[in-house]
Amino acid sequence: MRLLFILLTFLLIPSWLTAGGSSFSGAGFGLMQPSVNARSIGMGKVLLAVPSRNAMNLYNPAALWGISNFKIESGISYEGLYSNTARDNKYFDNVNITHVAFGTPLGKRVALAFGISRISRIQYDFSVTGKTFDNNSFREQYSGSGGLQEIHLTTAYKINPAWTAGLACRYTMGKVKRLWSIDWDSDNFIDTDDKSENNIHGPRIALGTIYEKQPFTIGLFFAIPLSHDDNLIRYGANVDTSLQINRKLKYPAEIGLGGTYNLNEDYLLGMDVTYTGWSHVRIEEKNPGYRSTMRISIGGEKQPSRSLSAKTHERFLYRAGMYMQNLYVKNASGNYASEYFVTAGLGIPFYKAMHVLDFAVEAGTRGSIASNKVRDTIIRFTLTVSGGERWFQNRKKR
Amino acid sequence: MKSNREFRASGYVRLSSKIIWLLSVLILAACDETIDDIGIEGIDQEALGGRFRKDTLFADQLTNAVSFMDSVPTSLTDRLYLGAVDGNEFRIIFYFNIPADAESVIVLPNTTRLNLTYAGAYGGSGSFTASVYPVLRAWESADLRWNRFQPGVDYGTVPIVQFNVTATDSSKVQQTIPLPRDTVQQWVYARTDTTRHNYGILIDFPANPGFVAQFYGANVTQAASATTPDKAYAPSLVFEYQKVLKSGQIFYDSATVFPIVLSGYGSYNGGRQGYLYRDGNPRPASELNVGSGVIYHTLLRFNTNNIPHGATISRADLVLNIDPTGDYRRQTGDSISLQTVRTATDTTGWTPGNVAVSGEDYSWLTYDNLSQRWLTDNAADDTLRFTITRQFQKWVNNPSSNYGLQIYNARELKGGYDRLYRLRIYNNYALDKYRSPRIIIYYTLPPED
Repeated sequence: MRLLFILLTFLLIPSWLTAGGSSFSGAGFGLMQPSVNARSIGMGKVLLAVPSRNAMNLYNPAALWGISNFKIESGISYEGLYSNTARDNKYFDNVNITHVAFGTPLGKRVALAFGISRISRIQYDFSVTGKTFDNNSFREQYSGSGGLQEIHLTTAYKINPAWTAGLACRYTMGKVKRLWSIDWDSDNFIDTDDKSENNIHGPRIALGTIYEKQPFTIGLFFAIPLSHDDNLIRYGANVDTSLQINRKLKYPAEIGLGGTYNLNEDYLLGMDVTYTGWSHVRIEEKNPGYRSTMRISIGGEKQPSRSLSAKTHERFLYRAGMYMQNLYVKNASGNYASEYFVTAGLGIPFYKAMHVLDFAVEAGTRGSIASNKVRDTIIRFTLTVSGGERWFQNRKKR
Repeated sequence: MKSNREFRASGYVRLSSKIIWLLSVLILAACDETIDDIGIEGIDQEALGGRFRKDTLFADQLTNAVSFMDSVPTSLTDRLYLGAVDGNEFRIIFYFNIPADAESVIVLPNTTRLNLTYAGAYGGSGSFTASVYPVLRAWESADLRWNRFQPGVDYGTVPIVQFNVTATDSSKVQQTIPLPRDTVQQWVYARTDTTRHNYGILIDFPANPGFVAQFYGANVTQAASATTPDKAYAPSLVFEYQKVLKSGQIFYDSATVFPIVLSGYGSYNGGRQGYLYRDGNPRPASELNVGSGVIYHTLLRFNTNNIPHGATISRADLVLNIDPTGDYRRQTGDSISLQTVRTATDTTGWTPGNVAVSGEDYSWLTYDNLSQRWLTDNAADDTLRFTITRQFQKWVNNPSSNYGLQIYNARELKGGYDRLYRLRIYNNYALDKYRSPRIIIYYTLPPED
């Protein structure tokens, strides 16, 4: 039954790893939204110095340490998005599976996890009418879909009570499809239907460490840039496969520093700063014009009451935070954009805290009409389910 | 030690958690995303969109521009020409397939005849004596070229019969030419005797005939949509014969053979027909001519390398201008339907008498009915615009398949009575590149990564 359950989960994942609707997802590899659990989202994506507990924290591999038993975790999110331009407003929504992961402690010092998660998505579909070629009318359509996913094998090692180190071997893969089509009003013109398909894949290595000295915890994370392959196929309805090339892509390095402070037994405060070196990305040695990005996160978590007489709502975890990050690609305006979000979250542990349901809600904006000609107003709900099992534990510990 | 109640309770909790997880997964999987248009502001057109381009290939990009006569076998013609005018010479050739019913029969004397029906004449007036010669070798439709039938080699030098041809505009007048009984008897025997041959006959004209007579061909039909020949006007071989039946009884009958092959329901194999023609006053290769009454084609082959591979051709128009100063015998009111045809074979070595054209891709050029243009008179500055979009796309996709286009009279074989004339297409890039042949191309280029 368990095996069937796990297999079913895997089979369902691929069809869910697409969705979206933001025009900002059009360029590059789409919107970079590395999937993290709802606990971290609720804290404003403060995660570099937050060790795992009932839910797994996999962004900083060292943060995996902390799980007490075998974990099965999966997340889903619903995103509602208002896209506003100077002349129009549209609403999109989509549902995504964010990640699926399995993790377990191995002995007293090691934790190991394996999983797949979404790290970017592309989903846009826009059209416009125009005239050209001796005033002939046409309808032009731009659409794209796909994104990047990541398979990872993460391990954390508890060096001593204060230090934890982590290593994650990650493999990025994904497909991005784009279409540019021209539908002429006149039958005397042949329509254009140009498609391209990028198949991107390549490894990444992420290193991390966490230093704990109560009431402080410091986390450091570094993802090493490695070369990726980008196989591009371009073809059209009226032309044969016109281009097929294999390109080398230098994926960006990422470095993050975070810290948390236990205000008291009940409250945890934290802050992360993460830098991604997009400006150093090269595709076949050419500079695609990306800019490096920074994400700044601030958040906190209220711990559950440990009192046996605590009421139900006192046994929950409450979180709040905010984060801002700038985007690495320009949009149609020729300007870069940034995102600003406030977040809130709720954790509901159950069955002796072996399982936990984490909810998070994010509300924010992306871009501005003045600068980017379009502004996204986003509300996103994320649910992460972390289930605990006593597999791989000796009977004494059980 | 857990009690049974505790075990049951923990089992329920576990089961419930899994059910919640599975249900959430299944419910959310059923959700569908909705995507609508919001307008162009939201996307980076330069990054995600391609480019619109307009370009013109002028005559300086012509890698081959030549006129020639004999690119099409004439077996499909509904008219046959005999005679000569202004150096344009025509002969007629027939092969009659003797029907199986007439196998091994005795052809009766004074019953063998060839029927031809006048459709008209052009050139001078009067009459001439035509000679009928036996053809000495087997031939196919593709052989219908003037220089492939030489006297004494491919056909006899001694006529088996001669007959008088009159220049007449009175159509539908039948002329009966008596054929020697022995000739037809030989054709009958050739069905079963391999030492005898039936290669048909060639009809030639004398020197300086002064006009060209036009007869109905075997493809003449009562209506344009009809497929079977109009037997009243199609050329035919007629003979009577006697046949000895197995019972010893002598059976008399007649046979009428039309030199045409029909396929499909009611298939029929009566032989072949056609005419051979020669331009005694050929135009220089630098001139681009299209013929009426004679099969004069123009070949145009543009270098398309300027158009990037991967481009989608939105529209490509071949623009030609007629040069009235170069017309031959073309009069006011002469109409002609010009057609562009893809050339399917390498045209590099094309010379008159050695040209083969495949019609396999004609449909590409008739896709939007703009590959054919009707020219109604000989006024100056006639500009013809042919849409060749799909063919041009093929050339861009595969430049090695670019053998050029032919411009020809769409009614050259089944046009009824067309006067003999030529029109000339202007071609002088140095003097006026906009009047010379050119291709205007509207195309899009895919987005660049």
